[in-house]
Amino acid sequence: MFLELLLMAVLSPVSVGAVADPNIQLDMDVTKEIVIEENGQEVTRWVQAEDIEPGQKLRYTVRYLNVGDEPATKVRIENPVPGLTVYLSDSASGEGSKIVFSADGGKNYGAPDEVTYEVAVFGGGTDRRQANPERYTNIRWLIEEVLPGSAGEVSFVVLVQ
Amino acid sequence: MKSSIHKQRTRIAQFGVLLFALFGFAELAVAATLAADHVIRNEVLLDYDDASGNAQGQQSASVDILVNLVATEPLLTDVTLDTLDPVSLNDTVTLLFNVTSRANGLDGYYVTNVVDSTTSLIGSTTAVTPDADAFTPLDLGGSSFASGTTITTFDTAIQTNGTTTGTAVLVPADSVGGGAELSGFVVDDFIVLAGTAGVAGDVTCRVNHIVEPAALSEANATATIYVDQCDVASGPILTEGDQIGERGQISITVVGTAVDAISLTFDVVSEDTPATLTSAGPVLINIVAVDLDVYKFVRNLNAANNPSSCGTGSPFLCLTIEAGATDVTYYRATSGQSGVTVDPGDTLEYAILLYNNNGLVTDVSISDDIVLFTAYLDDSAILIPQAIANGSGATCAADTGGTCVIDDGAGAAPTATTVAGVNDTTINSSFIFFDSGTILVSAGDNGSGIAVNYNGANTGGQIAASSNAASFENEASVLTFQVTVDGTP
Repeated sequence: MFLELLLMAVLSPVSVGAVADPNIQLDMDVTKEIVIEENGQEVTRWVQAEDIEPGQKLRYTVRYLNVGDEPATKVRIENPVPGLTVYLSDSASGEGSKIVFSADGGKNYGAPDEVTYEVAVFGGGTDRRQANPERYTNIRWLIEEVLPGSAGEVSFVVLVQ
Repeated sequence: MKSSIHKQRTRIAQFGVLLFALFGFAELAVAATLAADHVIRNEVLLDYDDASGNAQGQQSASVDILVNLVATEPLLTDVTLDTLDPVSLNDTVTLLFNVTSRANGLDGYYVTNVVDSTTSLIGSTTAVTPDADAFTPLDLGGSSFASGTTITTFDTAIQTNGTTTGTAVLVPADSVGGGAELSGFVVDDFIVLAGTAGVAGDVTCRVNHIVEPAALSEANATATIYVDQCDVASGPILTEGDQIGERGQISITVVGTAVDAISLTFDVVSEDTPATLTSAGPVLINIVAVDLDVYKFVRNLNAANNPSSCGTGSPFLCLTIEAGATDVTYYRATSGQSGVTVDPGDTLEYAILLYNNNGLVTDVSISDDIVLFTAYLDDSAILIPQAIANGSGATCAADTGGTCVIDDGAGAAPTATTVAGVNDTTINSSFIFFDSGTILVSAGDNGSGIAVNYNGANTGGQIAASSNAASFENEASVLTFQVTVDGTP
């Protein structure tokens, strides 16, 4: 998949200087965790996934490549946690990015210790409480700058209910 | 729809076999939740600016994942025989039980490994022979409650199919077909809504309507199942992730081909992954040879001509029929005279006792010649179709001397059928008939046909298996009729 992005970079019109803009190409793939036996030992492997079973883990990997000839700034990658899956704590990663989370469908984002959600309370009204990772609904990666020709990836893992 | 499911399941099954080889049985034993054939779609969005802070066009990418069927052991409940044990040799017995799916989608379940202790009964010719129908897979659906669903009340009424009435149950949509079938559920299926289907606290309802999104919108979507005829109106609180499993019934038909005590166990396995199974039993089936005894007693309505007590002999020499305030006792002897004497013109009452020692007896009929020098007393025939014979300290048949008592099983008079108009010239009864001085009776219970002994085209009654031998009780049927002795008193 990443080769496709590189190929796009080579063949892109901006690569021959027609337009001077940032141009980020995006791609995503998904793998699942399986346990296999090797030499009498159980070993965990991640393999390409087209299907899944309840209780298994999925890792989504989002790859980006700036095929333009200018830097892209304030890059925001946003991924809702898929329905009927649960975000796995501490699984989000992305080199050079700041990762924030939302537990209210993307209305508010924050670092893990700042993520809250609203609950109704006895006697009326609402209260905001800190959300544990299982309650996360959205993940956002913030990247200051992606230079022309540079690439990166972010990823996270969910548990299928 | 079914063929597309099959193709998908074939592929899944292959993968499942691989997983089984890798993980072993325990991995597959986990009850599944998220519905098979549901599509999880993840879409990522990307926004960015150029170096001058101008927003650029939004980018997106997405990927779909299909949820596989996870074969799961079904629940087996309400295992019952359709007849009381013991059963008669060569009779057919049906073993019924409910099967409830705990899988996350459509799977078939069938019976295998039918065993008596350690001996396989499949193909057996000496013990029991399971019917082939038990090995035909029974398709059952499975799913789970979708996010945001909480149900505390359930519709117990009967609703019209195809309407959005009843209790709405939100479930993950599947990617197969339209609304006629969802995760193996169709209208009129009975489904169990429960955290753990088939256990205490579950709710069983009927599907009356299914509403699914259009095929292109099924990813990450939910569908709605409307249910009615629930067996409870309220009680359990059911919520996201709780299991929904279809309930069906499987029967095993067995034919006892030899007298034996069967301790029957069996497995119900998943068609998708036969290694996934639930065992049931043992179910005890005693196959016995039928053993019906017949005894004839008499009493004189002129009480002075009856003996003062029962004689001695084996087994019992007196028969008493509970009749409320005045019980009626009849006499017999193992050989020779009963002790009853007659004067010319006396009226005698005969009692013919059919006493079941073993197994269900069917097509029971009696014929008895009216003896010389006596005449049948019109309208005197009475049949007690089904009653209980009580022994004292042992079953009647095992009592030495003494009296066998006939009652309804609770010490009261048994139900008797009196038929008016039965005489030696007219056919007036559905089950008692005279033919040239012989009384013909379809004895036992539920007999039919005036001519069971007459033309062979009708059926005699039945006498149930003696199920209460431990308390010295056996099933019985009694015919009484009266004759007058020739002469003038």
